[in-house]
Amino acid sequence: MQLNKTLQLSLCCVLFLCACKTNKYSPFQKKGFVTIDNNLTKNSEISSLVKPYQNELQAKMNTVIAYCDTPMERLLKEPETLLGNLIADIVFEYAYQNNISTDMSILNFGGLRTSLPKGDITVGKIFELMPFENDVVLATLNHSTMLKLQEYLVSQKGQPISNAQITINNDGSSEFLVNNKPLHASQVYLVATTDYLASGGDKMKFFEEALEIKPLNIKLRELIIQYFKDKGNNKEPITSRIQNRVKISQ
Amino acid sequence: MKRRTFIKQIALSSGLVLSSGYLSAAVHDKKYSKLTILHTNDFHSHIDPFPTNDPKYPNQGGIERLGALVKKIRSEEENVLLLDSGDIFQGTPYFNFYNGKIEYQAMSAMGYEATTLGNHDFDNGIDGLVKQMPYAKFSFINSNYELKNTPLHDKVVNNKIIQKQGIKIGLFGLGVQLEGLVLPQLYGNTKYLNPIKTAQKQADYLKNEQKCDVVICLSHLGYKYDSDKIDDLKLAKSTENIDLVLGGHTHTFLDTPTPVKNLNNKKVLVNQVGWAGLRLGRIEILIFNKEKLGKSETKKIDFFHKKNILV
Repeated sequence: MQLNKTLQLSLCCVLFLCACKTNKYSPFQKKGFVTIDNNLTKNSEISSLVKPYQNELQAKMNTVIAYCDTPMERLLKEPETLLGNLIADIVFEYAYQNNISTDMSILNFGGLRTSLPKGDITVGKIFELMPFENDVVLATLNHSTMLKLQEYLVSQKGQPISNAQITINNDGSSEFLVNNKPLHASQVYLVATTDYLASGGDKMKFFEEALEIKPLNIKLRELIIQYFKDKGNNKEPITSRIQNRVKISQ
Repeated sequence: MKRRTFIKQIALSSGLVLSSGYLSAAVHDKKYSKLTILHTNDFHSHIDPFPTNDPKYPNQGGIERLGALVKKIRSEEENVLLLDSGDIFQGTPYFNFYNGKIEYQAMSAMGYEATTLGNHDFDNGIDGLVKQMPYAKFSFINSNYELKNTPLHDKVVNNKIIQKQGIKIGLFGLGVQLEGLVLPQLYGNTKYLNPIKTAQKQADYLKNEQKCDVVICLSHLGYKYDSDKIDDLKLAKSTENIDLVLGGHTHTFLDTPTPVKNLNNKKVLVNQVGWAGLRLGRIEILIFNKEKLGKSETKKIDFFHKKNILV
């Protein structure tokens, strides 16, 4: 009986071999997976385990916290965006409240993961916008590092910044104003950003030269949610404007 | 009838056939045993299916369905091994609010036996990982992170041996270099060791010393890089004594496992099933018992080896 099994199994392989002559895979290397889709039912044990969390999370995520008065698109190739300005301002204002010497903030377009629609904004939308667990930090940069930050903005043709302006010329030169003033050689600057960018994320290598990086003990997402909630409670809409913070001269 | 189903299953699924002189007492009277390996990688907290309007994966995935599929396969197969290749954490608000607890609880309920550490499993720091581990009834296996100076030192094992009705399965795990990928304060004193050297050491130990019938590497290295960076394909090629590499990290959707010739010109299968619980990997392994095979059967198996059908 056992012998038969093996023999027939082997014969079967031979048959497959003949049948699959043009197939580069042997019969033992067919599809290596099963797709998980709605042809499958739910496992009741797993369902009863996750149900309470699903309900709780849905309620949390669907909570409307503010109203956005204009669509703010996630754009990656514009020098300046409504969404970038809004979030850079939120970070700058928070850092400024913590340390009155804060000079500017810088973020990255790539890190803002979704667009904000005009209308009601839910907690879930902010999670889509900022899914990462990034903390807000305050970096101390000297003049020469600030020049590298300026070079970086030129090379990237803009990133979200607040309390700073840059004009990028055709020849690659640029004029950079922080606090409405040109950079001063003897000054150190406090730049608010996230721990991800401060550790060199999105090619922000210049942060490696920071004299100090101080955590401000809040996640960027929590900060955004807090800002939106405050606006919502005060019945003020979420709004943003293009202000020529990054100007590319033609 | 049963035999037909058996053959059909082999024909329909991916697989690997091994000859073993080691088969333990429990299966000594059988000519072969079959092991069904189910696996996932990069689950990324995808408890719920993707929304129905998702452009890429509408209404696909979902842990409740995954659980149903696993249960069904368990009712059909004798020896089922359920494994994961890391990055269980991060990717949906479930992780932000519950820190991985539900993922671990559901995976435990499904009967997962082991996972390895992915880079995102460090996203709440080592402390955040340790805090959720009591909810996991499966093993955490990693062999190339030195963890002795971290709180993980007694919670992660270098390797693990699992017996399924006498089939002896040796597992070890490999993780990606964390530097530059994870913030240093999150992985603390975790030290990255050379994955190839570590893999060879583990595979030799499991195959030669422990006489495992099957050696499986749970990898979070990534499937393939054009650079010199070590990946699953390079790993399989430059080692011996590994039968199967179950990978992750690069979210690679492989329709069929990739066969790779190892140092000894023996075939190793490398598989990876995308991410987010969209697919459940399934690989069948047949283990022949050399001592129980007659001459003609051995000949046939040898023939298949030569024809590259059997590994």
